[in-house]
Amino acid sequence: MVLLINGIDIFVFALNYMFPVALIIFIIGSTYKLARFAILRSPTKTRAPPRKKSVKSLVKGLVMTFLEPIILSIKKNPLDFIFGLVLLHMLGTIPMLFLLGQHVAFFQHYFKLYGILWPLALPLSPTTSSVLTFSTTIPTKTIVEFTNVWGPLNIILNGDVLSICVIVAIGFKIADKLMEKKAGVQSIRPWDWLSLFLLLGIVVTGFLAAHHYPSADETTAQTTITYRDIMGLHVLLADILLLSIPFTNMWHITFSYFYGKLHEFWDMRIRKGLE
Amino acid sequence: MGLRIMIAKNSGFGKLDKKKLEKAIESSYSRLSMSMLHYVEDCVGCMSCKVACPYWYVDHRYSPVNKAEELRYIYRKTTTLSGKLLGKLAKAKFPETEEDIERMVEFAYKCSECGMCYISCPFGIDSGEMINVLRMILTNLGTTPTNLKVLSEIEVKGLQAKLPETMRIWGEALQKARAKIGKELPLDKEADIIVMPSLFDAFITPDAIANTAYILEKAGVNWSMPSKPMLMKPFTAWLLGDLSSAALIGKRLVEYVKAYKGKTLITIDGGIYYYFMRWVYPEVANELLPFEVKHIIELVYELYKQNKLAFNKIDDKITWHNPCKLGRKGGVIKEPKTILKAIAPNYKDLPHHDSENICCGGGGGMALQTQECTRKLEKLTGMKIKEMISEKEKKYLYRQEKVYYLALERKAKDIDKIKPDIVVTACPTCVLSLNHASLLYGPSYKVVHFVDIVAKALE
Repeated sequence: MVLLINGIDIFVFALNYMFPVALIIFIIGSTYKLARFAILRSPTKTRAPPRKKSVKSLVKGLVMTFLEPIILSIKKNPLDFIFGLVLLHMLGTIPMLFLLGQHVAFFQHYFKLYGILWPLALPLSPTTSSVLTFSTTIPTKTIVEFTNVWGPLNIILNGDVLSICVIVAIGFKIADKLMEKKAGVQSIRPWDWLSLFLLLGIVVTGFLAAHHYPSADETTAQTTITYRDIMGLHVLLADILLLSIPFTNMWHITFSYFYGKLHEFWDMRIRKGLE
Repeated sequence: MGLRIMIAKNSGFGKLDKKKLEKAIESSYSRLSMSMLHYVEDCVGCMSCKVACPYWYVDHRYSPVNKAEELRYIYRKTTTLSGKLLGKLAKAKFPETEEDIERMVEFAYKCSECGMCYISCPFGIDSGEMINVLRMILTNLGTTPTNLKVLSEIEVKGLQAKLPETMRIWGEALQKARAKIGKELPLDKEADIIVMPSLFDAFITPDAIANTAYILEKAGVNWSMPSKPMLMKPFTAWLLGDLSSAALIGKRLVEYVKAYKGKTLITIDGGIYYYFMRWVYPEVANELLPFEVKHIIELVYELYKQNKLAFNKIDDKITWHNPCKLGRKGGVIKEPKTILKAIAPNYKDLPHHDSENICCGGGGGMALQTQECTRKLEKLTGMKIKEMISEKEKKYLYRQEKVYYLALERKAKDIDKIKPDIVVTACPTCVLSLNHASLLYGPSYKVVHFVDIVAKALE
């Protein structure tokens, strides 16, 4: 176990000290970002009357607004669809962040109602039957019966496989960006790298912690990096990610994705009547 | 003479005047809205937009995100805390050298504002709108491609109704229309429907005015049109980000339609003209129109639904190329297809159609910056335009023309997959580009305006 100051180890620091700070910075930053939007009055006072469209057409338009980029990605950029959307987002980050058993327990600690998601909670590995709050056992080598709703899907829907999905996807994204940079693309920004490497760090440390690597043995404290240190690093990196959300491209998690698509829906489908 | 003096100032192309630049940037803040702030700040750099852009296939630096980054550099410098504090570390900077301006103009004019990147962006970022703001800055800085500047200035000054060659073309188009309907045209008269063709319609699609007149007469519509062209290449000023000039030109149309008590303004051009008057004019002029703006396709659709038009069948294999500003950005999708399907049993959609229609590559002024266009403009205006182009601009134009012609290949391939006899469209720029695509890349098809095929089906 690595101690920081006054006997506080990295895990305690990340969870008890850094997390509240990160949360406060996140809230202040988000408020600042939203306030900038709110006070910016549109220079447009008059708008052309919208086309008349049926409710059915608008509902279809709303769905298509969100689906169109995905359809286009499948058709035109299948690699980015597989790595960027499926592996990084749909299989990796989203289910792992919100449904991994450990995360469900963590969120439930602060928000009791979150516990209703327990039946959907994912185990750490395909060989761990119980969904544990704090893994004290190293995954076994035997596939056992699962208690959540996913049944055989747990072969895929588990921390190990999903972590690998994210790691592979980030690897693809990094390689893709490097190639674009080589081609003279100027729109690759420093915070793109920051977000990717931060996410990579979180997933890798989470994966290592889940496997009690490099050591689960607390008796060798101060001489060996233990499970607790790796878990502390995992939480610390997550804290940094949380506080960076309003200031980096991670803002899409909370606001810009929804605002952007809903604005486009209003502009293109409601006003102009695109079908 | 006045026109020549104005154009002579175009030697400022690509030049950096820091005071002018600051003013140009300052004036562009008038476009900074909530959505624009979202476009500037919320791009995650996923590059999903790249495959949507016709020019990315020519050069990977022309992805929408990469082009729009030029505006982000500027706005980060002034609108974000990190930009103010960290400057270049936060990718925030003003153009500092003439090379920066050259790069800006290169990127700003590799966009047809087709809107495909807008709907393909997972975050609804309209890079085309950002690039229009970038063009606004460049125009205010004095960096505008000469052909576009000439077209815009002619229209702002209303010279299309004074130049001998433009009036000859206009006169021929009206003569054709008279012959087609077999009587005098209803010129400058009060009517419910005011058709407002441009000189560009008469020049690029010479039968379109005649065939529009024929359709309206067949349907028994109360219509009229101006005796002189009120527009050159409609709303080129808007393409340059010169909103006040575009609003001024629009205001003339509004006054004309009001003077002749029109209830509907009809455009034959489905490019920027339709889009600007239908959607943009009320915003930039801060004025709600007292009449409707429709493309001729929308009117034909209504007349067909009211059983005022009945079509003969045409055997040709036809397809429909929807101009981006009429279809994807304008919302007119089902109307042309309904009509064309009623006319042609052999109608076939392009592989990429409706909201996914591939841009022809000529919009946004792309098709108007070729040497061929310069020659035609010289003939139209009697001006020595080539002499007005600086050496710096010549280099830019060389690459511009090359990129435009290369970008056409993608559309040509899309059309070639279904091998149509006729490609129907409704925008003079699309007609130009689709013809160029056929000439350069082989697929043999005839390009006709929508009204041409409808008129044929009514004969």
